[in-house]
Amino acid sequence: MSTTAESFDSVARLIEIGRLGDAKRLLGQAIAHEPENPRGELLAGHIALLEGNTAAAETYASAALARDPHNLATGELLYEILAQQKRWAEAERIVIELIRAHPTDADLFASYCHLMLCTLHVDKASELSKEALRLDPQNDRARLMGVLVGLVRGDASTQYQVEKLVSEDPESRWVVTLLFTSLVDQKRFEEALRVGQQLLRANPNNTALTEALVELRMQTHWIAAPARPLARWGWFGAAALWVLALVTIRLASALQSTVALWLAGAYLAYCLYTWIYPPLLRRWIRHRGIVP
Amino acid sequence: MTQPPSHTRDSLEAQLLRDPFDPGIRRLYAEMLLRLGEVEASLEQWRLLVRQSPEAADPRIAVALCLHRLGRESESAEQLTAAGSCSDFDATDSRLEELDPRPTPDNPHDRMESASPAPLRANLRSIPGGRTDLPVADVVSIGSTDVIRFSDVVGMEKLKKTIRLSVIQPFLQPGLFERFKKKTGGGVLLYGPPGCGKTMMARAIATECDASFTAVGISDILNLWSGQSEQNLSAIFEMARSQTPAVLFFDELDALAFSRSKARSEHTRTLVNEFLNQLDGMSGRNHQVLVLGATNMPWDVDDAMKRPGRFDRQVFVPPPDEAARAEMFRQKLLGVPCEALDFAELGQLSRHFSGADIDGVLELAKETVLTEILESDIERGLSAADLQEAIGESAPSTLEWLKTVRNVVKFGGGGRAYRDVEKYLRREKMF
Repeated sequence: MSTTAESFDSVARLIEIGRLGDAKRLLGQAIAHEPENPRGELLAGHIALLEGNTAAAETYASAALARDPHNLATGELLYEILAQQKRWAEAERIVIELIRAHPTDADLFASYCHLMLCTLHVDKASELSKEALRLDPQNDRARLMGVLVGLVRGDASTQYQVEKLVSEDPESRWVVTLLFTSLVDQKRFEEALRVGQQLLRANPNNTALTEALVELRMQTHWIAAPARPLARWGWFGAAALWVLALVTIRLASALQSTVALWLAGAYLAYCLYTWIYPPLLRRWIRHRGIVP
Repeated sequence: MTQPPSHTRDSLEAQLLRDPFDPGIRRLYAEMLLRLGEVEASLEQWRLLVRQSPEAADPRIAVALCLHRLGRESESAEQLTAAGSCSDFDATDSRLEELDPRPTPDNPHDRMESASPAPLRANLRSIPGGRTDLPVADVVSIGSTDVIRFSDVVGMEKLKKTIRLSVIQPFLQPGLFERFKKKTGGGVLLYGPPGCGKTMMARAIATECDASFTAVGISDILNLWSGQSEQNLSAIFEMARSQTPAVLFFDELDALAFSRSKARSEHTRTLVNEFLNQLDGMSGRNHQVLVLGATNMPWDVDDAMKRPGRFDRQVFVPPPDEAARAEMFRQKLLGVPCEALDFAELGQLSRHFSGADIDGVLELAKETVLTEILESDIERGLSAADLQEAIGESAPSTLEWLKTVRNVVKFGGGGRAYRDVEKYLRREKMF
């Protein structure tokens, strides 16, 4: 017969592997044995959060905090709930309180850094990630935040950091996610697509990732080839193309009007193409799937 | 039976080399070895004969005799009771005098008793590091509980044929497959939507393989997590190895072999590493243990588990097809008061329903009829309208799974592992 503590451990592991139904059943039994144990409420909060019920998660987390106000895990859960609801100010207050109570915890600094990234306080995020890495250079979250801050700031050394992380732990999901983000950031769409597919195979319920893959496939599809300069250089590319077209047509009209007419027609056709092809291609890819 | 004077050991070995599937020659060779006192070698030969003729009592008695001479009494008794349940069992066989107690052919339950959970539990206890409090409810011998054969699994004919060729026959006749240089061994992972018969299929495989069946379900896994998890897992494998031929079935494999890339705790990683060690070690140490796994979430199973020699054969268990659903309705309504029903139509209406969903539909229809009977005091049977209404009110539980797996196949480049799923989705116009 397992003890209640063992049951709580099992619940935590069931949550980790995503078996929330089994976790709830076992948690119910464990709470019946030890209704006063704040760990029961903490775990219930985690389950509710994963099920998307943030209101219930907050209730459980608050109840657990009332029983044990200094519990780090409960504080972190509450921070997570608030951050997910985009209640940034409250989340910041919680994370600052936690850092005051546990000033050497690198995870907390990483969490604060994440919060600052979400609210676009990049300089502060950078300082926080440095502090997290100083406290624990091997901390996964701290390293992740370090690379994310680098990506946001466009630091040249970020690519090297990503490569280092991938070489150290190529199968870790967060490393692969980071690699995906980095590849997209570098506009290496073919590689990003392959990495993204690998991520989707592991998390098939991720609809945001599915959409991202459709967009990536659009970028790599042969139909999109003429529009690649625009995708690569964005507004600068579009402006440059416009100027180039204007100059060429002007020059051509000065030399021969028929050529200028053809060039103007081609330019208009190209504009029309860049306008029409994305929705059509997107629909086609959604219908057909991503065929290798 | 005596050895003809023309046969020498060398000549028998030479003949077996030429034709390893000649049971007559192998029998002569096994008898010769037994007479020469090479009991272990003889046992090997008799075991091969058992595999070639699983329904025959004679080689089983010989196996029991060898085991008896080797002092392995519990295994001997098990074989003897298995022989007793064969139709050609001869109670006057002189070899039985050496063995005691003697089973009778009219008492096939002797076999069940010998392989009941109690000795399995005892075996588990006897293994160093084995837990004594592992739940035994799921650790059963196929002889002791519901015996499920392929014929009991409704529909899935193509799947059954594939499994027979790729799983059962290599297990029963390894020699034949080796002769054709056909790759054998490794585990089999059954995956598919919930409630579609993966567990039932696994039990049927065990029966068809004529092997003892050890099932590890989610409750066992929860117990595995407490205490010395790695030792507990190892004990389960050791238990299976001690009861060869054996089928070791891990239900909800994703819970035990959760992807290490997603796992946060070191504990999960360690347990998966141990599982991999057991699978790898097993292929080298014991060819008579077939490991089966079942999961609804193959994407959560660690990738290393799916590599060659481990669960390298992944079999998709789809929702039942129309004919199978019709047959399910027919079988599940046997003995239930019904009006004239068109089962084919019910099968057609219940598109994508799993076996479990059909159970739900029947329960709902029965509730409706019983409520009506209790209110009106007029007794009547289940009508087609009741069932159609219940089908209309129920939603197939497989759809969510199929939509999820469609993401993998359609956008994730699912690859070889999901080829059957892709075919199914295309056939069902769900791609």
